[in-house]
Amino acid sequence: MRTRTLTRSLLITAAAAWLAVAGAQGQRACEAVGGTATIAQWSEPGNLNPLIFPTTYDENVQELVFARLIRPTETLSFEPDMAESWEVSDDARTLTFRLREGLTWHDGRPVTARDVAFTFTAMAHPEYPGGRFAEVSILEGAEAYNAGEADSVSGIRVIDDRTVSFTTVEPYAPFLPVIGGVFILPEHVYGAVDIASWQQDATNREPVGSGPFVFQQWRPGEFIELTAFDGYWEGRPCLDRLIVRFGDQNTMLAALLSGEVDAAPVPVDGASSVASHPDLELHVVDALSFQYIGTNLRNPMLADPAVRQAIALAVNRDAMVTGLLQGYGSKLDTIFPTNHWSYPQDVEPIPYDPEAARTLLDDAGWLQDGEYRSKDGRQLAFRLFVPTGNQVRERTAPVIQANLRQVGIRVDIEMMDFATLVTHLMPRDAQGTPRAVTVDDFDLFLLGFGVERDPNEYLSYLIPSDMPPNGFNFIGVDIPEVAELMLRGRVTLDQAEREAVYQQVGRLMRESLAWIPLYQAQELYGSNVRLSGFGPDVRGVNVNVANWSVR
Amino acid sequence: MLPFLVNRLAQGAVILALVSFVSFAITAAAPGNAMQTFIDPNVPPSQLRAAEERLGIDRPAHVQYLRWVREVASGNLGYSFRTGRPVAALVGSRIGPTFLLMGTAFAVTLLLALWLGTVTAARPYTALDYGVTGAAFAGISVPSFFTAMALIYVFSLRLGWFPTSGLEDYAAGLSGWPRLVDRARHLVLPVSVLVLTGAAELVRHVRSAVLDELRQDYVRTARSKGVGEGAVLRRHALRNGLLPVITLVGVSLPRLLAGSVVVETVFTWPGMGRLLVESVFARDYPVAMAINMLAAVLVLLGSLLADALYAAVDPRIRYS
Repeated sequence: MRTRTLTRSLLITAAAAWLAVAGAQGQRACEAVGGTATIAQWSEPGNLNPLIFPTTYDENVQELVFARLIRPTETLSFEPDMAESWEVSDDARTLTFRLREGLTWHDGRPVTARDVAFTFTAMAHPEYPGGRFAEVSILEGAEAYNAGEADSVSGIRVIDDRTVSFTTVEPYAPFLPVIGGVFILPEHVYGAVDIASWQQDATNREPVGSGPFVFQQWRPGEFIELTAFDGYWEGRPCLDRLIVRFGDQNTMLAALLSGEVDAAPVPVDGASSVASHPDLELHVVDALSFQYIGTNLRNPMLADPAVRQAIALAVNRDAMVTGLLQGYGSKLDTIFPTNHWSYPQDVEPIPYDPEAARTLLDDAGWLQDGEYRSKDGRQLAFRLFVPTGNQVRERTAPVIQANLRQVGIRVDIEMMDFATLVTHLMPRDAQGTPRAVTVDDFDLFLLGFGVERDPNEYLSYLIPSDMPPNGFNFIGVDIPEVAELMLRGRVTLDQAEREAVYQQVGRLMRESLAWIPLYQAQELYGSNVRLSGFGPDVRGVNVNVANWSVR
Repeated sequence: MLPFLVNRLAQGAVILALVSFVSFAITAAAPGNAMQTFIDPNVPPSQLRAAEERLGIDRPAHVQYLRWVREVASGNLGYSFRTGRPVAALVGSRIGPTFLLMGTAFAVTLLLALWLGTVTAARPYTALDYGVTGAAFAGISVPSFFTAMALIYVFSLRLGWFPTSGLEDYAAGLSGWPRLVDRARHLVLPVSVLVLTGAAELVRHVRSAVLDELRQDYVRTARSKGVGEGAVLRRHALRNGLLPVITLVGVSLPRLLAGSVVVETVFTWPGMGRLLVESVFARDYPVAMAINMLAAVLVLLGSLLADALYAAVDPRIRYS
């Protein structure tokens, strides 16, 4: 066996070693110890069992209560969390994790490798109701266990109390990110509940983990209360109590401005009032998500590359960034976030050039006929489906409409809630059975996408075999080279090689413009000077929560 | 009286059945279902489909409806699709806060409307009357979310007198008397919004009812007997003018528990209205149905109550 840290710099290894030492000694440099901080988010979590259909709002609270084997670093690599180290076997199919010594659950029981095995095995259980089986289906024996043909997952092995290994059926590059995305559950708590009833069980609302904070209470519609975990491996958090509130974005902004909450996300419109407030600090964070225009490639007009290119050239994305985002963001030129390693920095920029768009359309035979263009008696007209819920995105719709009218493309905006948009992108027949997308289901739509942990998450959106009803390729992308690269990215273990693979996908998607990239918004947070140490980054809002303290 | 009650209860049962059918049909007609709001690249459609099967939302609407009726008939309101919580507990936890908010607002509204309505009826077409009427129309016309944001801006952010949101100060962990005071401070702004937007209608009703009574012969008789103007107003005109107001009180009852969507959302009040909106967007129909049915029951009870009060205060009305 050869040890591979998978982190690229010595610096990170050194940092991890420092953390391990600090954790063993339970030391933490706190500006102050004790007190209560209140933070806010815009929506209430649905449940706090990390294995039941987690959303971002769920995970923001779950990551306070639970810990993972490994966790992301700021440079989007991984560092030890509950595991102190890990090894990759020579055939690159087996990952072996060594747990830290003396880890305990919030109820005082010791953490063992069996808890880890229990958590990953549960995801493959035939009656597991949480939807995350696909993440572990690559493990040896997972399919058989899921089908009820085996009593356990043969690829998950407990070697001793502190050692557990995972074996995949083939070398699988995104498996480390999978491990880094699973919060470990205590077997003695969750194993006592019939897995089929997990979704309804009280453990869903009263989680027990091994993370920095202990769950105390959840008053639905109001708040979740947590207290510091004395036995946290990285040292007890500086705060005594942490309260998470949830509510409407404008109200939470008002509560931040009035000092009722110590930290909250800030909508773009509120940025200036937070920045100019004497007691508040505005935090601007690069995120890994962006917005794009999706095109239905089954529509012959949209299948014409000249039309897609003309749309991309005609949309004034600079105006979106400076106007709608007030500068808190940037445009991007392909389907990966600009701050992720998969983004090709040499990608050809998409300029704002309505004149070039007109020329392209003229050359393609779309000629101005009154206000709009047409060819063979068909008007160049599209419906634009806009999901509600993201205010900035909603406001881009009329900008796109006006921009495209200037080059002779007609756009009719239809606003709808997200669930309704999904019924167009992933349609069903009259009996309710999922069916393939047709030319009539949609023309253009606005949607956001982001990398959570690994660019392999794009796979289902880009390969032809995953068009609905099989996957999320609603657009109908069918570019053999892209599909081949996406599949190769899964089995390529060398990080430099993987970067090259996904960056090439980025260049090809820039050429295709099946997704017309718009902008990448930054995330804004405000914090009261009373709260020190608050420092959200690309990993999220709670990254250094154990170091927060209040005056 | 008894046959009347039996008759009304039978009618009520039929109406409830119809309401449940119609609201289920509307819910089923909304595009998408609970699982379709959950799109995550790590969860393939086959997994979502399996979850739909477990929840039973892959079945035709009429099958789902019959199953819902069977469950409710056996006393089981089911589980929330979004959170997995038992619906009865989830809805039950919202009754208290909603009742506190809406009940306080209703009591204040009623008192204010009776006072202003009587005062303006006593001096119709004076500056006072025009002032109150103008304010009443403004109250009806300005949308409550605007009033709410304006009050938060002025009284929370500028003056710092009242908190912006929530039921109480969660971080302080108060108890006893300070906690009651803290809760009362949290009530002031949301109640004010409801009163400002709700009192207007009632003021107009009270004013016109009292004004009508003041023109009646018995009022003239009372005045000619030498009864003072204050007593005429309070003991005669207002009392008789209350009759139509009772109807309004009766139909206001469901609002007391159904809550206010806008006010609860803006002030992050943990009430029924906010829960209803959230469950509609999440296509969480067991929760939405439970709230709809609760509101329907309250409407029926409210109108029954109004009828009973009528009979109690007006000897001319007899149900037989």
